[in-house]
Amino acid sequence: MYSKIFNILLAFGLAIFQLGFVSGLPGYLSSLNLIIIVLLFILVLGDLKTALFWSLVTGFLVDLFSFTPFGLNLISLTITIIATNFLLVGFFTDRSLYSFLTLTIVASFTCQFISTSLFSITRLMDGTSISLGSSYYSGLVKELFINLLISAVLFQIVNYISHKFKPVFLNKEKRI
Amino acid sequence: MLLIFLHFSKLILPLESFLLKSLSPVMNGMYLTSSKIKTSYDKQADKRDLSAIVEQQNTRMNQLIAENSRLKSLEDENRTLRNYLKFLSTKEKKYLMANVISSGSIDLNSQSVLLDKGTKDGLYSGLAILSSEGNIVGKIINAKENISEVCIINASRCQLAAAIQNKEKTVGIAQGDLGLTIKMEFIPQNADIKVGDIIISSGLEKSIPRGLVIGQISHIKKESNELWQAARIEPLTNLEDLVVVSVLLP
Repeated sequence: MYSKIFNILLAFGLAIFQLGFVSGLPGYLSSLNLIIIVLLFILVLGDLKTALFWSLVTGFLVDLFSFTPFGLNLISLTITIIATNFLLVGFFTDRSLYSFLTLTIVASFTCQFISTSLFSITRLMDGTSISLGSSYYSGLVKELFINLLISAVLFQIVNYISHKFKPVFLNKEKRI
Repeated sequence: MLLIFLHFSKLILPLESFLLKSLSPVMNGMYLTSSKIKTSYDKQADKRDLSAIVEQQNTRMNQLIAENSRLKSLEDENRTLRNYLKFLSTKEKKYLMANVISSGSIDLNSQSVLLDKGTKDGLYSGLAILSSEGNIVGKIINAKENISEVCIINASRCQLAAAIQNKEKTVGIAQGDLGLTIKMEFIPQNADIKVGDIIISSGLEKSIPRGLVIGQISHIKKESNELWQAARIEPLTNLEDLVVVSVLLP
């Protein structure tokens, strides 16, 4: 029970940090989707159940502060975690930096793709449509780039602390 | 699915309102911190051009002081004449101060900012948002009970009815361009416009009065074989630095 409350508070903190702090940062940093990265870390280091729980809580809070139809972020994050878990269990099992970065790209892209598709569908149902201009695509490229960069940095930090990932470079002394 | 059902059945409305109200100040604090980081980053990036800018601004300030004193005497004269004619005085404008709590969501389409005031405070879609200098920086496009969404004038989906302060008082639509600048298209070829002309709100929108400054023409695109000319507008307010704004109430 206490761990669930603790997880809810942490997930709230993550969502607020993303919406309040990250969105106001200069340059490419404002495009960072920290929620996706943290959910990936939870999925890889923890388990699917915890990652799904976090995706529900963060998705709920993002939806509260969003003007898109309620549930859009919640559904996109949840589907993204399920899809990423499928890839993690079936294909990218070695927990190396390269696998992690591939999963980051797939998760970032999937999340944006699902939320944009769902948003388009809701707009079509209202009788309007959305046009994805160049700013959308440049935003997507920026997000992928900064997510990759921050993922790589966080990977190194987590690996240094916990050794739960595979090191990027093999240690010469250990090889001998 | 249960959460979505509970939301639409309004069963968790009190919880949602509580969360929105209690988390808004925290988000505003965080936004303030990241805004400070952004400002100092921008200052570092602009340092190279600083001396040239200071020189330009000094010249501009001297011109504005002269213009200001001239306008003040005109204002006094106007007040006296209105008194003589028993003319109805123009209404005092009503404002509501609001904090920016987030610069859009994680949705790439948004290009907007969120305010910590909503329909409960009397806000609704279409109201003008002003900076501390009194320039229009955007308008409300969506409002919930406790928060509202504002499109900033340089965002692609933001459009404002505008007028150029030239002889003809040419009117048109000012539209954001990729979140970087503002453009005004379909200006008649024969309209006499020049770089430096001020663009103001035209008053053709229901909740936005005439005369709010949008920006200044920085570039004109005029082809002799075209029917229309276009202008690029530079906003006079730093749109990246909005932390507290005022909402102009009708």
